[in-house]
Amino acid sequence: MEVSFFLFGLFFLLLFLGVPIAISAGISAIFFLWKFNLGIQIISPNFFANIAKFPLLAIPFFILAGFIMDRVGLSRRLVNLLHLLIGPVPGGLGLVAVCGCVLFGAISGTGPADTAAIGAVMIPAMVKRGYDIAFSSALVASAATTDVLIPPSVAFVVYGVITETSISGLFAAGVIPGLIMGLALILPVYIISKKNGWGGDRWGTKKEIWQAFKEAFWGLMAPIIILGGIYGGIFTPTEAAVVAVFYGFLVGLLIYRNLSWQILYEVLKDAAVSTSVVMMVVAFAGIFAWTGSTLGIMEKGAQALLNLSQNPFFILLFLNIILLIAGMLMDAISIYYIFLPILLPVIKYFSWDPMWFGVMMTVNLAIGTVTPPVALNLYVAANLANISMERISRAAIPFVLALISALLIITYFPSLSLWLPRLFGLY
Amino acid sequence: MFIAPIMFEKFKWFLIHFEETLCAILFALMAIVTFTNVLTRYLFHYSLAFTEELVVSFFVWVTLLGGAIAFRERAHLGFSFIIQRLSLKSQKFFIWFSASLSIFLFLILIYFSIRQIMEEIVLAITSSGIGIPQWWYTIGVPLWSILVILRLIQGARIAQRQLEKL
Repeated sequence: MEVSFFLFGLFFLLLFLGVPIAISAGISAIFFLWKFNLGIQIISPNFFANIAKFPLLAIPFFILAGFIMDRVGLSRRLVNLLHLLIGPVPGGLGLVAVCGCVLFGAISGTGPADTAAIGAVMIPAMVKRGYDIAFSSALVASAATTDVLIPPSVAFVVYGVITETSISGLFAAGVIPGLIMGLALILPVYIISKKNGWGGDRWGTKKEIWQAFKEAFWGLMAPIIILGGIYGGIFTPTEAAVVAVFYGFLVGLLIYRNLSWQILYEVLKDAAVSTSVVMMVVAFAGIFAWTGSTLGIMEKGAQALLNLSQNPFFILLFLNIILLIAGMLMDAISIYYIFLPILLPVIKYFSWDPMWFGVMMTVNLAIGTVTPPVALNLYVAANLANISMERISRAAIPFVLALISALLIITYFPSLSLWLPRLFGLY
Repeated sequence: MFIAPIMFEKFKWFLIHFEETLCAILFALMAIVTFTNVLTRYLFHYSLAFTEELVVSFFVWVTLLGGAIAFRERAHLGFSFIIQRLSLKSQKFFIWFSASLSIFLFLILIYFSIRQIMEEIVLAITSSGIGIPQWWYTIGVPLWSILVILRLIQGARIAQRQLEKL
């Protein structure tokens, strides 16, 4: 118990002192490797091996695919179509933002990328139509949390690799929970907008809708190719990701004709930086998890958790609270590496389904991207709208409450997650 | 006579953006090789599985190169909530505290990866797929870690200057 306290204690101390998460994990790991003579030299082969995994390649490729599709103007065209279809109802533009985030989530793999893509179009449009700027940006950030559940999802790739759960299965399991989260947001959007008299402009004519549909068609095809390919048994998730990259590239080159060398270079560079931020955490938090497991700390943690209570319902509620708090302090990838080694024995003990547990845990961490102080989606949206974190955080409260109610439904009704994987025979 | 300053400017651009260019090229190669592999497997039923080691090794390189850019742009994930509420002087201290720990971690990584490379050379370990010396891949770790350290220092100096402007 003493040792485990110090490994985690050192990690959180460094984290709170502003040291990047990857470095905090790496430093606390090598300190304990050295102190307990476990062989500090494993840092080099482990660093390499933690990154060099074929399934993890889905991460850079899905990030790149999302960035390309955004840059060739796909998010704008999707939003255009949605606007003509549902714009004028009360809170119409808010609904467009929610549906836009869900739809773009089927192309992009991370919440912040979804926030940036849809936010860049929707926040100015909503402000122009009289919506409050803090409301608009908090809404886009909250709706983008669905991206983490809607396949493709970088978070599920990492969860699948750590727990050796089928990534295709996890992708299928995330669809319905992602949609439930989107639906949960509609209620606060409707109530707040109706009170303030926020709506949209007018219904689109048939001709306009047809035109907009034709423009957005190639974008709407992307998720069909990605998911159809995976569930038709044609591609692995990594292959689907690289196919999506070339699909987006061809759409930009041949159909929208707005892809230049300059844009391609920028997209590659930006996607590489976003990937590295994730992979640095994967590499060093992976070494942290290895150290903890080798020292037997993680099992002791699991035992402590089980000593607390043997009631699965209570443990679930307790885990939800712990994960929500962890989500306020860290990103999803770090939390998987640091908490999953403790949680896996608990999952086994209660014979919970790892696929359903992955969905439940990921919903928690998705909500973590809109709960300050560390709230990646809010941070991106606040920067886009040029407003303070305090303002956007306050505006996000009703949406966070809606998402938490969705979380409870998803936690206590496992069949919502497991129905689709069962249907596809992946479970 | 104006060529010299222009060349110097170009050289400076190259120094600052060196890893961006390399990173973009390697990333593009990763995508092209993986995509070609998908095509050959489904169209010609011929698998280029041996190229997988090339792609995952480049993945390690891209992580370090992109990581270097991210350190310069201070894009790495962290928890700055407490630090941001301290006095300017303490903030400056913690910028360098964090940078020193990061540099220390990458120095350790460089030291042990060089030892690993020396072992791979002595034992003549070859890669399992293509059969080239394994250290051709491993060499990326110490090499690009040096770059990471340079960008770490640069990033900390930029952050310090921004603080002083406030």
